[in-house]
Amino acid sequence: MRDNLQHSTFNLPTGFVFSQSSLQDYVDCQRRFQLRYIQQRAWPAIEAEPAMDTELYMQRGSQFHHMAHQYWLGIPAEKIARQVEGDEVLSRWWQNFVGSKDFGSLVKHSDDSDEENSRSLKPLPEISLSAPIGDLRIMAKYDLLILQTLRVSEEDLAHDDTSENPKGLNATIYDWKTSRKQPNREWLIHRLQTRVYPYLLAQAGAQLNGGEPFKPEQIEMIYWYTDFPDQPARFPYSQQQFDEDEAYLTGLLAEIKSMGEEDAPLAEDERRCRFCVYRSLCNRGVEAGPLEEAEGDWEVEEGFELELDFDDIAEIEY
Amino acid sequence: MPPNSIHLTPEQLAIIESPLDAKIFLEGHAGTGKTTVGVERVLYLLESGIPGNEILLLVPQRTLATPYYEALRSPSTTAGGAVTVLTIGGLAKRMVELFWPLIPTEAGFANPDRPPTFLTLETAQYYMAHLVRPLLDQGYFESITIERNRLYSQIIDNLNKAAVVGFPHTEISQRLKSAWAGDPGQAHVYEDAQHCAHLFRDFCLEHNLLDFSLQLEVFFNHIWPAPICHEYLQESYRHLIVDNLEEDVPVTFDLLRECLPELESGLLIFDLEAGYRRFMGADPQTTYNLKNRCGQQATLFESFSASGEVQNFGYAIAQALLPEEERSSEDINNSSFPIHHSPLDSTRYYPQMLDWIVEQIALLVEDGVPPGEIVVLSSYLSDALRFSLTERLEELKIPAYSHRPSRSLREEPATQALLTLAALAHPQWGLIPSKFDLAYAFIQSIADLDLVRAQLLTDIVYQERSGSLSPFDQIKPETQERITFKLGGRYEAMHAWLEAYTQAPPDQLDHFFSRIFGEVLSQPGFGFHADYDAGEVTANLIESVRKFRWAVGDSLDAESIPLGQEYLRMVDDGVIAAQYIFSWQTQPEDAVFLAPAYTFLMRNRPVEYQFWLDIGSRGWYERIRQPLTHPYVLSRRWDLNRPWTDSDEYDASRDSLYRLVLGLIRRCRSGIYLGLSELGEQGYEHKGLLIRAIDRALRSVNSEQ
Ligand code: SF4
Repeated sequence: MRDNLQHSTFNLPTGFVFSQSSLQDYVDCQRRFQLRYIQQRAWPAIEAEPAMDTELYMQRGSQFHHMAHQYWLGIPAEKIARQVEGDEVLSRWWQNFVGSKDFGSLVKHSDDSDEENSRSLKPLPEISLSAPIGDLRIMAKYDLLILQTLRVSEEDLAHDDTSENPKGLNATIYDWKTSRKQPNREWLIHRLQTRVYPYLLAQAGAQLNGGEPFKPEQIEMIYWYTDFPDQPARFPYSQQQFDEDEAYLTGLLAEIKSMGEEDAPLAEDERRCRFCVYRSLCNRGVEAGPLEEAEGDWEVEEGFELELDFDDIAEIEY
Repeated sequence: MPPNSIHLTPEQLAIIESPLDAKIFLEGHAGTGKTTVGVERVLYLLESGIPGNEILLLVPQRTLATPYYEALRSPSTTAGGAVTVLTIGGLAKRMVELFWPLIPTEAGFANPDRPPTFLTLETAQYYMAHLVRPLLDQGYFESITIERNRLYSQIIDNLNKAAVVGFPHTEISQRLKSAWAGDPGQAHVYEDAQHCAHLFRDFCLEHNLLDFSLQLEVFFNHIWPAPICHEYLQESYRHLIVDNLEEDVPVTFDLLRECLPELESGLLIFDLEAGYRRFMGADPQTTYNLKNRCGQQATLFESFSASGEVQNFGYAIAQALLPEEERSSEDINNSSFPIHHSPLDSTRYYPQMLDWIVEQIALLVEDGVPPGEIVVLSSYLSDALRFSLTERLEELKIPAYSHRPSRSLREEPATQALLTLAALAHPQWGLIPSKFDLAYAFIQSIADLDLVRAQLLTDIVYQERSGSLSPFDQIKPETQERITFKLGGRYEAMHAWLEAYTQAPPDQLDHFFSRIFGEVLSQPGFGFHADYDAGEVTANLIESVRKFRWAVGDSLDAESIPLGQEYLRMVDDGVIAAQYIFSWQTQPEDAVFLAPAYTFLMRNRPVEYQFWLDIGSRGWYERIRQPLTHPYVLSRRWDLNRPWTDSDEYDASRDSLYRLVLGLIRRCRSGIYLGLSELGEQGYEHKGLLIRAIDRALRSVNSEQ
């Protein structure tokens, strides 16, 4: 059997960078983490049934992310909308997006001269940040970061000597969620994404803030739901949460580093196995669970795709 | 100061720590530490506060970015935004994808309001086959004998060449004809190729399909000139690093020429006497002109790879390969070359030479050389050669791996089993499997089933005429016993699953594969259970079908052709699933590497010892026969109307061998072993340019000694 991956001392492939989803996999099921990231086993079973609905759901999710990216680059919303005419679901999501009071009216690099709002906004779509934690590295790809400068007037400043951030630069993390149901807040609070994204922005975002790290209080994480545009889930960040997250992530990574070569323990909650491709390997069932019962949403992992393109075909004879 | 500054020379450090607005052109031979400078420069920029997301690293092929990835993923690298790593093709695709809604009508797409479909090499080949096959029946290309799939890929290659060189695809045949000096009948072949290229392009425009060539053309002609895209790139990337510029194509040169003045900083790295991807359109002469566009020029001289003796040998062969008048009169250091060759008296035949090579590898390993520091190189690595070498090394327990798996996707046993089961589950396609194929699929699918029982089972349960299976309990009890009840039970589970499947509306083919894999084949008692190789092959097959469906599904629906049926037919024709899938990120830890010489060069990693196989072969420098295309004529530097002569061919061969040999030697630290046999792999006698040059080099030194 071919097992030709280079491994570092504690078995992770060399150059492995953690993401919220690989950490979430570890927390959900250590065996899954081991199979997927340490051993990199492809196991192409169906994830959720019906397979075609699942595929459509994932395609729409990725198409929506793509459209939002185009929007923030300054492509007119109507032109973007035309690409999905005829797809009721995507058109609805798009209408919800452009009509949203949160950001639907913002345009690329707008310098809003409206005196009342007196703010400038800088949208940074699809931006990735990474930072070391001990001798490991962690990364995040943000759907959208909005940096907002509140132009506090000199008069206000004079009266407010408590202001620690006179420039008033706030960073809002938006994450697009295309799930059919809106999960409850308690569930979201414990998601690794809710912890990793703001933490990493505080750790690695200095270059976006004129060389000064963002203070946790300047950061907010928002899950924005394409089907529930008026009910975004907001998570303001704080120093206390940052400290807790740092301790938690450091502990989690230390635990992962101590994993041995033996098979890791299987998920305690067997319901997870219904939506896990490895279920036949773990003897945890035969058929995939129904899509409508799957929690959260899946996103295509960066770098998990097998792509053979013209740049890689040096071997092929013409 | 860069973290690794302790290992850097003052020259390297000076370049790395150049001002943050420097535009530098760095040249030097392989092994002089240019890529190290590139990597350290990126880290230096990051440490100086440049956001990683403002840095673009451009490489001609993704393998060449490996040292950068390694450094960027290291925990010691500063926190911040991610550096973007792209090829010119990757950049074009990304920009077309993002700015597609702004595509102007002049681009010629029939449905610009619909999203584009990007074709892979495989799906482009499929459409080309679809369009060209009927023309073959009408007599197109009848004067040449060539395998159909190579014919399709050469037409695609012509389109790609037009795109990377930057001339209209309508000029392909004109350029090829004007350089042709042989049989006038060849003109028809070029015209046929041109017509097929037109048909393909028109079809793509009609259906919003973008193959590699169209992605590049749309980017360069329609997206890049749009102010919004220009601004986006300009604002996003302020710092540029380009490595292996000599392997890149002319349109990269055009893009860089335009961007450089607008950037804050740039480092362009150029490997002298390289340019190995010429057949992919690389044009070192053109890209070298960027040197004048950079404010600062630097050259590195000191070799970190090859020892003095190895370098001397390289120099001696290089001299021997130059035309007489260009040879230097300089004396070659006559210290002994670290060269070993197989003894001709005992390695007359090819297998004897292989034995000698393996023996020498074993001795090196015994002496403590890590297997990963040894490569075995040949001009072309046939499957038979790869197999012979791997087997011999395996016997001695020396780990080895090759640049690609030994089988293409369609030849994998797991693939064949899956395809047979798909045909069986879809009788409506009319592709009834043979008894032989079915027995083979049973062996793969049912754990512990041997050939005899598989044949017995097939003979009894399979009605070949209708393509149907009968249940196990209808078999006579004594035969059931021979097959065993355990295996019979497994067969029955699979049979029941297939029965249930055929009762319901059919799945998409990739979903069928996923489902039968998850619900049957990978379950306990079945052939793929805990077989990770089978899992990987199945995943690759599913990926291939899915991309095929996404690219071709609508067209097939319009013609009411079941996609699965068409996919299986195309696999049979060798159009689809003929690729060798190999994830380039994964490399064995410490194993001897077997590869064609050019593949080794494009990994750009020096080793201690190299074995050159069959150095008498002409394959080391001769071009593959390509009757429909021509990498030199379809280049930017070829003068229209100048005929390509035998002497051009000879010069090109010698020049490519010269670069190849120098490239190899510059990536070798300690010694080279030459495999000689009087008769080559095919049993023919060879005495090519390489062996003659080596001979001359050795004699010239001996005469000096
Ligand atoms: S099937 Fe269950 S136990 Fe196995 S890897 Fe998946 S989640 Fe973990």
